[in-house]
Amino acid sequence: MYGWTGKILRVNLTNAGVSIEDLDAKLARDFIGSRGLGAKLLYDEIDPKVDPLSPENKLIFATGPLTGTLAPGGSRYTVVTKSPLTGAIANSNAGGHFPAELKFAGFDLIIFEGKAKKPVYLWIENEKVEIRDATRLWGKSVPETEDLIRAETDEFAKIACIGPAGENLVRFANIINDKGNAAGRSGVGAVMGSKNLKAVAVRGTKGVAVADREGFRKAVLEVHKFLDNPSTRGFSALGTPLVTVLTQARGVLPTRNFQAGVFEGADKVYGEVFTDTLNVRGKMGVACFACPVACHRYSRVTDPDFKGEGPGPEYETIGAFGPGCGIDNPSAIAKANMICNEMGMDTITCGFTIACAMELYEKGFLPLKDVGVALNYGNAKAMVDLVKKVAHREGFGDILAEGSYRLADKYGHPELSMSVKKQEFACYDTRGLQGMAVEYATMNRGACHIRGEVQDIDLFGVYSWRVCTDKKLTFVDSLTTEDKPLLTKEVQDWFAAFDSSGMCNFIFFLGVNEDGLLALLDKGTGANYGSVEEMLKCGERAFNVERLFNLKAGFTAKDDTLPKRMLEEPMPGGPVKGQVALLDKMLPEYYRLRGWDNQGVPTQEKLKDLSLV
Amino acid sequence: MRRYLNYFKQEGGERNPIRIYGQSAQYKSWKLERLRRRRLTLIGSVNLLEGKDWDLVWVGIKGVVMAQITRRIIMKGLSLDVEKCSGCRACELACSMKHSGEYNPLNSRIRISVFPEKAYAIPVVCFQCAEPWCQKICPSGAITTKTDEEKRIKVVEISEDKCVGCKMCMLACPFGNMRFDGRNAAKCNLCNGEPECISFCAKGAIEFKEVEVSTERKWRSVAEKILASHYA
Repeated sequence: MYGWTGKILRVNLTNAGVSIEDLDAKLARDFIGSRGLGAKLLYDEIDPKVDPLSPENKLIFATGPLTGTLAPGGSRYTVVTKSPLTGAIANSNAGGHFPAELKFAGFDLIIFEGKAKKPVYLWIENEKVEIRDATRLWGKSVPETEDLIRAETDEFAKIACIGPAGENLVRFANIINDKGNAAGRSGVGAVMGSKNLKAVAVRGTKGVAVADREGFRKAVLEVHKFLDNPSTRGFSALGTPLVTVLTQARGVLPTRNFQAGVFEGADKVYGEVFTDTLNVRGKMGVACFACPVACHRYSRVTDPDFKGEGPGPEYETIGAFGPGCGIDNPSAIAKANMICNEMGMDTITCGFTIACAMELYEKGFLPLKDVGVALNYGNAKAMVDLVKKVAHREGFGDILAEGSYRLADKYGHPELSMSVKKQEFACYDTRGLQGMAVEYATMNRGACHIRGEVQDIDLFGVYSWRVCTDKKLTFVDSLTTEDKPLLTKEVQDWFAAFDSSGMCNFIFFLGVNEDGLLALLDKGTGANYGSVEEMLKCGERAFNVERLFNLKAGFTAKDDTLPKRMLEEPMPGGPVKGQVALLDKMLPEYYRLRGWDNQGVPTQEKLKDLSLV
Repeated sequence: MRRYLNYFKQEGGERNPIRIYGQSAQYKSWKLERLRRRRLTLIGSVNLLEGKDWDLVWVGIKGVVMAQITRRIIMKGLSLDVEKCSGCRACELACSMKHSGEYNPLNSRIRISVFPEKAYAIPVVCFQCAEPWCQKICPSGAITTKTDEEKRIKVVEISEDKCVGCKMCMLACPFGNMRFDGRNAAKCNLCNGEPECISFCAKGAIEFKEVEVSTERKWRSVAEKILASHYA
């Protein structure tokens, strides 16, 4: 096989059994890899009704066929499992250098089953796979864990691990590789912690082959040429924090738990502020494996209240801990980010859970004696102190560790949790972006932007995808509803395709389109997808498998909804004042376009068409 | 020939090799320069005596010697800009694919070292030493320095036939630039004048250019910094 290595590593943690299986070529081709393949395997191998934190859940690390190649941004893997935060399928994605190393060791996927009796970590050296004792690593932060494991394995080993948050089953704990790349959402780190699996360390010395070397080389150079433009350079200079100024301008920047869409202190947390005052190397980005963009950064805070250093922060983190909590202090935001990276927690959920707690407190539903500090919006010190408490489930941190829905529900107001399927929104208010209304409501892992970023089109002005060019679309109005169901469906399928390939979302965010991906997939794997339609069908197939998983887990059309605030409370001010999310106008059409019945269940006809029966 | 020399002396011009060196270095196009010299040796100095450019006559005569001095300034090599490297390792992948047919950083002849806490990444690749340690230590004479004037490169090369895989050169190179491919020693050979790595460096951190030009640029950029602080 080309692209794919053709090998799956299966690790049974209960009986410490390690086995290497072959990856079925047809399965690989039909689901491409990574997100899609992981979804199919999880759907086939576990009962979707299982308790996510029980040994019966499985944890899948899935790379794509283009991971580890020179495909631009060919650095990603997806963690697929059942989420303890939502109870739905989870598919968290991360880059850095660990996923490529897994390919160099010779594996496409790792499937973890069962639960170890004591804390363990997995050490992979090509085919040599060992389950090692991790008792003395338990309790250590993410960076410490990496350093300690490298000291006893290989100084060039690449590592993915959990921090204390994952060990303590914080519902939104994450898995971090290369000290700063997070498989962030849905609590995948808690699943890893529930299996007593502290880390996966890998050193690979083999290579990844492609089917058509010359053709692949040409395809890569074409993407490089396309990406050699001011947008890419601007993105590399500022990173994702450049988004803040855009969402503020459009009035969709989450402010005080989505109570507003414009933040009076926004200019204090624009991308340039972080670049100029906190980034260690200013306008110079650090790259993941094989990426021509280089959007990461490393920050250092000298303010004694928030002293520390570490990778990031990204836009979502800034939105959640900043305007989301009414905070305009970049140092405090950066500090919250560092704690989350060290402890291994999702910044989006953590930030918006605290934002929700702030609203509950200010409205008098959360008593002072429970939270222990005057948790008003804008209280940066209190926010940072609470973040510290969450990872160890200390005091009020124990309640925060359950996520915003369970927090708000406990205090009698679940409607104040800005979430769908119990997963918190990302930093885009749906009242100003009707496409995001559909996306948040229907994305299989709960409220999520990145698995189907419709707003790339109308907010970021990306009109180079076939999703737009085939329709000769050069402008999309964020507030119209007739076009959003189709756009959302197509964007979700398109994103499922490239999420499954092992390439990074941001390559496509910068405009590379379906033809670019097709060239790389075909030349790289030799699997002859042949056409964009065929390739996108694989994405649609993956999306539908995820949907089937959720349906079997007990989700229904009732769960494809938005909080009352989005549906009924008009935006109080700013450029989209007066708007609400018009989901009921769009959802039936969305189901129809997807080939689902009016209860959101894929019809037999659709399943046959996707070869899922 | 002597007649021509006397002719030149009569003009009062000094037979100053430095002036000639400076003159010929003005010719930006090395190809053009070579053509001119070739023409000189073929046609002879006769025609040119009637022309105005006396210095060219001297170039024709002293061509070979002077050319040695001028050739030194126009050799090309890999120029690594630490200020631009993002640590993506695309160069490692491109190099390994070209030389070993698969994407495997361990087969790459260039290595990037990433320092996340400083957000810096440093490329290291064979420096094509003028007096290579590897060449000195090789017991089978497999390592030689080859100059290709056409491509304007001077490469320290390994003959696969002669290499026995003793790995002494790996010990000798103080920079770690010698690799071992399982049978022979392997190192950067500038891909015969068309380096693969530079095609995939999105940040322009590796360039293939005249070595001296890089230094000139560096001087200039330092000068700009000094100027900026002077006016600050």
